[in-house]
Amino acid sequence: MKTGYFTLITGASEGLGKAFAFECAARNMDLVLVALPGPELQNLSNYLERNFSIKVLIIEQDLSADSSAELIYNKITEMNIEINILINNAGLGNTRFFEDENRKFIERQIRINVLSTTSLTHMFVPMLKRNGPAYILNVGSLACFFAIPKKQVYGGTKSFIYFFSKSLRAELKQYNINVSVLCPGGINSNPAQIMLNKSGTWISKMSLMNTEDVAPFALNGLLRNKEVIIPGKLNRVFLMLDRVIPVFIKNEIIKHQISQLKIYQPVVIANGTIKEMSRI
Amino acid sequence: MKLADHGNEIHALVRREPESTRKHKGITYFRGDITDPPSIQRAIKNCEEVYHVAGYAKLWAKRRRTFFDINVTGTENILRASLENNIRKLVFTSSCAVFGPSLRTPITETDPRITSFNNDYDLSKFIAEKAVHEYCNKGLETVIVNPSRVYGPGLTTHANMITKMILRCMKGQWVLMPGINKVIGNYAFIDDVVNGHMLAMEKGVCGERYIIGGENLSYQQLIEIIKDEIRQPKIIPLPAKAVIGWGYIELMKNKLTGREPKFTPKSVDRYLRDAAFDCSKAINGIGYGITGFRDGIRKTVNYLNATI
Repeated sequence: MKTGYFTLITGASEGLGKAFAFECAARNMDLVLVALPGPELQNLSNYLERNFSIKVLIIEQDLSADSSAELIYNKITEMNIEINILINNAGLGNTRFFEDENRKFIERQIRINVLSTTSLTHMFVPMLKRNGPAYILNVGSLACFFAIPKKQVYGGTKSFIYFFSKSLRAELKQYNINVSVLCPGGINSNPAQIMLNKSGTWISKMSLMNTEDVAPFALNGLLRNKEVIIPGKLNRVFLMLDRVIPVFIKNEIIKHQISQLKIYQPVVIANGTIKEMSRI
Repeated sequence: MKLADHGNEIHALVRREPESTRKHKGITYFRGDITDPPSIQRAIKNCEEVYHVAGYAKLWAKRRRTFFDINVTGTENILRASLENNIRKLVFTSSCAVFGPSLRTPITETDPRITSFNNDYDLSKFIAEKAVHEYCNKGLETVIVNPSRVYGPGLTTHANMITKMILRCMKGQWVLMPGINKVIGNYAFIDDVVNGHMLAMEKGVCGERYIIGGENLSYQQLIEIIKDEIRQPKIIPLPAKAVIGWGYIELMKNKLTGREPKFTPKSVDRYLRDAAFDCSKAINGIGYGITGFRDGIRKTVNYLNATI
């Protein structure tokens, strides 16, 4: 799909963002990759240009920084390129009880998950309007449908993304811009997350997906103008069950989860690697 | 042994001492385990350089945490002891497995992994590399080497699959192997890998990693060379689906009988996808050299001829 337009992916150096970059590259899309400063982004860009016949531009930007959306937009206009697909993928998860979480971390999480997605979308809508058919893919989470202890803020930010996307979709439809929201369950996104995923219950482990399976599914959904994209059959079953199970049973399940979580505390070692050996 | 031949005094940390006939005069053997820090302390005393080669390299473990206990915690134990004992330089043996499969061009040291970590071996080695980097920042001089699929004279275990296969061929036994002709792998001759370690110790730049491999060959090329070197090998190529199916049967056998599976569907995945590597960095940076596959196979056959 060579269009002369570029696809912008945030959080592209690792996990799902990297998988989006590979999938888009395989579909012959030219890319603008945004990620935290570091060698990974340049390495990824070199690799993609070597293995696919596409153009890759990179922008090193911490999305929690002030006016990061403007900075990114300005760099894109300076480079004189046009975007027709915006993938708001960057996000920060959390795995602690609310009380135990560092407030600076929470603020950073809200800035990345909510503020940067909103501002970036706001900045790019005029450009997307003139480049239709255009696409916005916001990465939400299955967590936005459930009450999940230790993911309070994360789930909250993703609920914002979910409803923001649905309303925006209604607004932008007339301009030939499709807005989709992706709601994946657990993903083996990066080594720390994989270690954490391994410590989950058997049912959560069964529903785990790899980034390279989620990304193509999500892009197919986006290009077919789907409103809500939920990868994984089991995840779709969870969602259906959630809608039919009575509230008092759900409350019992959550209570049970909390008691379990208190027993198994993950140990985070210095470099951010999470070690949780009690269950693997 | 090569280091000892070069006049180095070697402290070898071993779980079992070798038979006395196989012992080398220049090597002092210390019984212990990398998961047992006091035993490391005994062995590391008075050493200047450390080669951390030990690891759990099987395709399966009864308990998954075995991979992490040995490959991650074991490595951390060695790193800590090395820093405490003012070791001049440490070479860590990682694996090309951390890079995963390759696309159109052979993988270099800086290339990103294109698939998720789908098995505990790859992941544990990757996390161990992170730990090595961390100690590099703490002031320990470290270099990482990533060997590809190693073959050549020596053990005939899973870790030396090609040699095991050749031995079976020479004995006239049947050999089953993935028959996806075009799939590319990288095959490193053991002597090159040993040299690569010593060169990394001598010239490797702290904090860097070096791929030490051999030729990139498709299964078809590999089989053709083996057919040239051994008279009438009986090789049965298996399609990918059959290999995966076999993996599931092995897993079921394990569930029923408790016997260790030869491999699992996930762990065998890496043999069904391209894994081509580029050793240019090691060649240009530390003077690494590659023995051609045909040459290496000849040497392996000669060695095996002498032992059987």
